[in-house]
Amino acid sequence: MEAPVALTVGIVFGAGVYLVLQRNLLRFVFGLILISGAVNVSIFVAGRLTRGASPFVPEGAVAPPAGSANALPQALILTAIVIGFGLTVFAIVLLLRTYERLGTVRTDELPERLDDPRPVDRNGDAPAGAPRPRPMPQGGTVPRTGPSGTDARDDGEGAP
Amino acid sequence: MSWLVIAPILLPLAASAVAFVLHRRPALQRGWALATTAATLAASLALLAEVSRGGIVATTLGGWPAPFGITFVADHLSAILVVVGAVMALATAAYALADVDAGREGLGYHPLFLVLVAGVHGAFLTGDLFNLYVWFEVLLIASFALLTLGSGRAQLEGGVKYVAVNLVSSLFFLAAIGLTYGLTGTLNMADLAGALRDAPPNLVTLLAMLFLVAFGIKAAIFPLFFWLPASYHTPPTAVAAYFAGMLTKVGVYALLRAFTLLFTGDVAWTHGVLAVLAGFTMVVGVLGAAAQNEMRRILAFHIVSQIGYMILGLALYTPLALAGALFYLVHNVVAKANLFFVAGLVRRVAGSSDLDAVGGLYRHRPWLAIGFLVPAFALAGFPPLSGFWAKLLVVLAGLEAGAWLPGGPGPRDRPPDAVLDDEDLAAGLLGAGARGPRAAPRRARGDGRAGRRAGRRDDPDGRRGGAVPGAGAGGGGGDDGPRPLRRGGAGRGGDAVNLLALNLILALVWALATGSLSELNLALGFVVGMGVLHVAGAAVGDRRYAVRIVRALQLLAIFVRELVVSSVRVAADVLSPTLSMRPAVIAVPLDVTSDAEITLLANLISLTPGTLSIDVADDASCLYVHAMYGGDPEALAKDIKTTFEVRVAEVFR
Repeated sequence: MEAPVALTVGIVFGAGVYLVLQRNLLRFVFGLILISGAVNVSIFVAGRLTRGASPFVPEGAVAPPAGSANALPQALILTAIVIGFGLTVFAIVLLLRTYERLGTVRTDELPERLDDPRPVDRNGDAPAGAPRPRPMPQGGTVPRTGPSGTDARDDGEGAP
Repeated sequence: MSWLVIAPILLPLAASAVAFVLHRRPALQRGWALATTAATLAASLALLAEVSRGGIVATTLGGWPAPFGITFVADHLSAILVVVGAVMALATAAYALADVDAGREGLGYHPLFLVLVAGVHGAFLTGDLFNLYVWFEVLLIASFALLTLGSGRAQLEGGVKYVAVNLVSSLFFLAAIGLTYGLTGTLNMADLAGALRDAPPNLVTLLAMLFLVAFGIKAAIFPLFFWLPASYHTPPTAVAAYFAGMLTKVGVYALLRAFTLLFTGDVAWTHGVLAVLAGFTMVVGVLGAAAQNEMRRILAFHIVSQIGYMILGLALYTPLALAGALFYLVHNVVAKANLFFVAGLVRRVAGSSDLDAVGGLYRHRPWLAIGFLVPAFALAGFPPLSGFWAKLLVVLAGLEAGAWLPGGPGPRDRPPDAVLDDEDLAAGLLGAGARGPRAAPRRARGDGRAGRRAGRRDDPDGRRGGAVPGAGAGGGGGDDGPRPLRRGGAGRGGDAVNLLALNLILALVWALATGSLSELNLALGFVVGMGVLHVAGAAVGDRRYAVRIVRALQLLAIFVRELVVSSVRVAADVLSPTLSMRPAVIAVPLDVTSDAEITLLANLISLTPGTLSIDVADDASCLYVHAMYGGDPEALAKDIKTTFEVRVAEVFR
């Protein structure tokens, strides 16, 4: 019974690693979510998959009766899921904030946006009249042709 | 159960909840944070006193007996680190009174900081592997929030890297915990130590490597350190100082625990890996720091190198080395955090912490300079200060372990040790060299930096347009911009001469390195260098270097032979009563074309007795030669061509 689960863990882990290696940080976070799921299942398998009774301690006893399921991995996973949930939410909010402030969530574009910021005000929202941040980049390329404002300055220098 | 063990965790954790409630009263919050950290320090001092008096203090939560319930343990290592952590927390809380702005206070700086302190102390005090993971996450989430609090652009950019890498590290840690549990059925560290001893050694080594990656990322050892210099210089000073002092040290502590308590079965392999990584960490960290020009960046990069010393102590794995590593850890926490504090003051006073911009600060604020000098000297290892003793301990332990090696039954008789001592020494030398001039402002680099920044801005344009002529030039020759590969304008002959010079230098270096300047050794060095240059042919621009050198030697030999033969012939003719010479000026048609080839050929001809080069045709089509024995001009021209010209051509092409 462990083998197919282990195989599944491997496949999910591999998919997660593939996503983690992407330059788009949103995919990176998706990859982390996949990996953390795979890790949780692997902890579950590590506790051995047994068909047993619920691990309730009977009245007066100090340990669950023989033949009951291993409760510890479930407790560990529950903790890990909660922690992972919190971290993932934080990471996604951080990405959203980064996108608002820097206009990109691609790792190779982040450093240059430090010197070349999008038009954003102190609160991170685009001021009225200025172009909103462009929609989330799809696929591998990011369109960098803004209609006006700083985008035009950016393009004007480079074009012959 | 002893509350003393968990007091350093519970105090800040409970106080942070209160601080959250007080979020509308910043003044009260500040006082509360200060009071809490002071109380935490008192509690940790009491714990240290207890440990010193009565040995290890342990407590289990929930009333479950030891291997099942979650255990908190304070031994000397934990207690000392908790005290240091509490001292840093108090110092940071005091510094934050002036440093953290109202905006960040409103966003919850104080409660987050208290959570961070609780997480760090929890990681130091727990005796359970999974609980260690939980405390790691507690301190991580607090550090994430603190690092990005205020959402400055640089903060977000650094924070994204920090968060991403640390999340990966956490997953590694969790996966390693799962496998450990599957292998042993326990996660209590003391229990694990015994259980892992009976487990299959190859699986245990695999686990050790997984933990090494997980903790190595947290501790910022080579090659997993890149997140640290990318993020530590961005938050406010109070945050950065505590991060710099404590957070990587939590990773080092975890490594210390794991590789002294859990993974001691295959020390030759696991600690060998640690030793190599430590060497690289020390060197890379210092080199990275030397390349920076902003105080906080220098200090951040330099943390990496210091981590290397601690890991080195762990890797040597002798009592002295471990003591050195621990001493180094404590010393580094204090010195590094102090330097960050001073860097923050410099930023406050001078408005910048860029070394180019803050020159002459000593004249206005001598006390600030002295405040910087003391921890900086401590870090560099000046004798009366703590860094000297820390480094001395680690180096002594290294020498001691090295001295054992040749046959002693030391805990680590393995070959990498010899390599290690060299690396250690190299790192020490580099460290001393790099630290000296770093304090001095380097003004000349200002322009280069500006150009680089401009170049980076232009870079995407160049990449996008493909052929935008102004992109690179507009950026002042940007380093990052696409740049055409430049090939040397000189011919291959010129390259060969350069390579020959290089080869001679290599031979000299070989002779110096092997310590003997004898001709034989020089020749050997030349041959070795020739081989190196030949192998590196593609990189140095000449694929046939060795062949060329052999041909040149052949040409030299033939020239010497011709010299002797012609000399004898001319001498015999001079001494004989009858002159048999038939002087003539002949034209030798040239197949070689380059100036270097023609010059060499002409000189060879002139140097050989009996013939003399007179002139080269304007179009370099033939060489005019005066010959003593010009009876058969065609035969002579052919002779010169086959003897010299063909071989000259072989050398140069």
